[in-house]
Amino acid sequence: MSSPAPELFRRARACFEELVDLPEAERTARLAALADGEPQLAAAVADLLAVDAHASGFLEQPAMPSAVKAWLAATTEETVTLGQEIGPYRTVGLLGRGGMGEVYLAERADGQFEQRVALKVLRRGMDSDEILRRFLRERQLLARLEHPNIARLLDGGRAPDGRPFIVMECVEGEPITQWCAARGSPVEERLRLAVTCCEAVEVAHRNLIVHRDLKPSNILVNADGQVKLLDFGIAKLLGEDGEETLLTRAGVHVLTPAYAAPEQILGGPITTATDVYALGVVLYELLTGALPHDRRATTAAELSAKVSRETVERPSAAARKAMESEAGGDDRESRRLARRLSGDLDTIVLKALHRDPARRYASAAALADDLRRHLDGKPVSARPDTVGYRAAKFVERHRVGVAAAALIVLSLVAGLATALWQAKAARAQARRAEEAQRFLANVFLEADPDRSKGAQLTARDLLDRGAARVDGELANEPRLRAEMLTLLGNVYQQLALYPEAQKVFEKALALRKRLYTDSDPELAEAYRRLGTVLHKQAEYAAARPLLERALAFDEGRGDFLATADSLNNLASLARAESDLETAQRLAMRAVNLRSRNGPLDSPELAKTLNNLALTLWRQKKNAAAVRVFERALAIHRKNEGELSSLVAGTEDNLALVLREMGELQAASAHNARALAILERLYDRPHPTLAGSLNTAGLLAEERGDRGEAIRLYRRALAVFEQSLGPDHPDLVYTLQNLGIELAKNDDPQAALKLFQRGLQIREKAYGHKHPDVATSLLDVASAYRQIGDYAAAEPILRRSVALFRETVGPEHRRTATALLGLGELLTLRGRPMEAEPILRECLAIRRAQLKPEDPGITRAEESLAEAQKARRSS
Amino acid sequence: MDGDDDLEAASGSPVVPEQITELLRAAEGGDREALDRLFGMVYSELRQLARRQLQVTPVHHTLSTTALVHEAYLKLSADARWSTRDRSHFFALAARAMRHILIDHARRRTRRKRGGSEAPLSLDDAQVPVHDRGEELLALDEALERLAAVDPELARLVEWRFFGGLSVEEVAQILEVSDRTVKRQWRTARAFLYQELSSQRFST
Repeated sequence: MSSPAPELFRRARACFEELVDLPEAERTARLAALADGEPQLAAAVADLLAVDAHASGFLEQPAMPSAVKAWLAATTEETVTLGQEIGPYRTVGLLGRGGMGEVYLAERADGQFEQRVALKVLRRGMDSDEILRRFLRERQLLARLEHPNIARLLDGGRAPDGRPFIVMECVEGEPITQWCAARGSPVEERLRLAVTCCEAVEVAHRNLIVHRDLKPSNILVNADGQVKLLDFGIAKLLGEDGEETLLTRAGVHVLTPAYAAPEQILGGPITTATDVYALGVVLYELLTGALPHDRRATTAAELSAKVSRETVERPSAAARKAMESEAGGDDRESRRLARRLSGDLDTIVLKALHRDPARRYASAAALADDLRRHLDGKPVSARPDTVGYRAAKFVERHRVGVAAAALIVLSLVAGLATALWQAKAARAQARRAEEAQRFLANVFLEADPDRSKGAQLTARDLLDRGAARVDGELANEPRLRAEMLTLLGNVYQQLALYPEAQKVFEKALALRKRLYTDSDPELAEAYRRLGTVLHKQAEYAAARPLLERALAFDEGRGDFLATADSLNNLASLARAESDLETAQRLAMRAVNLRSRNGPLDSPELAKTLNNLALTLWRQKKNAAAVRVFERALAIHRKNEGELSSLVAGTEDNLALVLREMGELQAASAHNARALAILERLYDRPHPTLAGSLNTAGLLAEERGDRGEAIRLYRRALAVFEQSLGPDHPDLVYTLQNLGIELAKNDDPQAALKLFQRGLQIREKAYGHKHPDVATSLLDVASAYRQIGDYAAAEPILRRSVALFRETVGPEHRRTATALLGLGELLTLRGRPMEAEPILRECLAIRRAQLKPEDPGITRAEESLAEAQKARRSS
Repeated sequence: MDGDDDLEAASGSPVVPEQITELLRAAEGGDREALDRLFGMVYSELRQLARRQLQVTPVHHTLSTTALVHEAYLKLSADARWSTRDRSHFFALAARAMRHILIDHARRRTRRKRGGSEAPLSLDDAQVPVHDRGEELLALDEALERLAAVDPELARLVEWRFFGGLSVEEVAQILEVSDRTVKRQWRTARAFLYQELSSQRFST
């Protein structure tokens, strides 16, 4: 963004200062008046106003203490001299110097105890006051942390030179990686040490302390092989500056790039999963001798860029490479190690290192548990990611054959398998879960080209195979069979293969009707699934009784949350049928049930709120829709942090509603935030980003900036194409938007091409009998008309009219639109006699359905008058 | 060459209040040399004050430019009768000096971190502050330059308030306008800078 010209800014400033304290309505009116005469000035003022709404607090804290101190620190560095007394301690030796400061060996100066301690004097330039304040706040928590494998925090205070210091139990030992390397420890010993680390970390987590900076130099092993973890909770004392930040970004974080979890570097929330990741890195290093990523970077920006792109190589492959690159590396030895690591250990380490904190081990204990199971030769819980891994591998080999959507599907399969495996923890279902896992793994193994004899399999093929085999392979496991059918149905549904989904859901329902009673949740679920997929296929009448039955069962069980789900489904159904009042009532009930019986910040509540907001929006209760979207947004933000597709998606919905309300500056601000999030969130093209770009295009159009709108639609289109492939129906909206703008820009030929492409996509996706196909026909005809090729336009318009009549009914508004197009064209073609009855029909529909002052009626009247005039004069 | 040291060298002999007043008036009259000397004095005074504060500050007290600038004012204006004009001139200088101090330092720090002669971060043990305040401060400084190009009055206001630590009331007093006027101007300036900084963020 370039700065405005002084003259424009001077005037914008004057307007802004005049408007800024006015009530919202008056302000909007004044802005609108200004926009008439001076759009550029109005836009500049609107921008300032939009920003002002978010800028409160910004720069409000005058001066920056830490900046002052950093400056002072750089000019007045002092070091502790040996023998100096710091608090009740006397330094006797320097243990080390690092990023945080210096570490001294010290003893009690008053000779009270014969205790040797490690005394850490923190580097200058950190905010000493804040650190000390935090230390005082956290010290009790930290002091309570007593564990044989955790070095105790003993004391802290301010050194004579003003710097804070921290006193800890003095630990002798070597960093865990060095210790193992020096002794040539076998894999089993390394794993046992890692298990000990995990257990210690788990104890800290239960005491609400996250380490945040686990790395080999903080994990020492002494000569007896005893492990001690250092610096627990210290990173939190040093990082996280709450008080003063420009804008709203998080404060300084202290971290070690090589071991930090992606969310630490990219600014996500820090949780126990952050430590699980660091443990994963240490484990990786212990097993392979290499780090999982190359994170060498000289600036924070470079580091972030690297982290958002990186992928992890399997430990078995990395170990082999590391050993082979060593001079005189023993080939046999490296193969042996690679074999040792491949399988369980690859899986375990990769799971700990998952980018998404939610997909890592749920706790350090779970990681320890899996390592122990592996050591005991038992199957490990991380298996499902192996299925996911095979799936990924499969996609890699068949990149051309598998659509982007399939990626989502495959991860979904892995996700459900995970859920099954979590169920396994309940033991009772262990055998079922194992069966399920084996079944899934077999389906994917089949996809391996080595086994499928080179045939190119798509995700669809995989699903079909799964569906075909599920009956035979799980003949003796009817419950599990129903579960797998449901899983397959979900995946089909995700792929928009609704008839296939319906088929397996029907089978699942039939099975469960035999197996379960009305009070079992499984049966209600089966009804719900089938109802939902019928809804997706617009078979509303068939869907309703199923969803109502699911609701009755859920209510009968007194399961409030399932009841809320069912209400939510019925609300969506009512909305689809345009019964907006019912939709609103049901959605409100769902919201109330969830609010009363569940947490006020659950993601399910947010989704229900989102559904309610969509209905309110359709009802044109835009202000209420905004409020509800905002509530949903607040919940998503709380649960997911800023960097979330749900946050971005809701922001974008808000932008769309606000756009309809004419609140362009607020809409643009929401849209800009959505875009900013999505661009940071996805390192590859993603349809949500494309959707948001499309919204940005609409807003640019609204501002009258056609060039920008065209540019944005083109970008949206490119991102859609790269993410969904060139034939996905979601592309068509953007094709239409872009086509309309190009047509307005006097390029109907280009518009025609886009509209034709949209038509083809829809015919391919929906068949020939779908109202959206009729709409695309209208688009194509309008381009022909603008070009002047009336002869080409006419049959297309006739098809469109016929199709609308067939799909939405002869008296529908959309039918009237097609009639208008056809009537006007016939007048243009010199056949007003034919045009007249068609335009009369259009006018009759519009008069019956629209308010008398609606411009649509005027337009139809004018077109009819035009036709009559043409008839009389001919 | 270290910016800090350059400026400190310019400060010369200890500060005498009468001399300050004289210099202040001369600088107001357009005397470049007087302005430079004065700037050096204010700068070194601020620095001394900060250093002392750091040694005596109790745990719960935060060091701030507000305190520094005001203390420098009290010390340098002691015994002197300063007009409102002198006062405003002094605060303008102090704010500018504070800005210099902080920006110079931030610039040196970021330069150092971007490599230069320093060895690259080692993979294992380097702890870097990921969100570097220095870079943030430099971005603000640049945005402030852009504001100065379109509206010097607003830029001065930000300098006074953010770097000089002056309150709305103090600014209003010095400029002899109402608090409301200052507040409105402050909102405009803030919106401008916020826009500049966030658009930068979105584009990276």
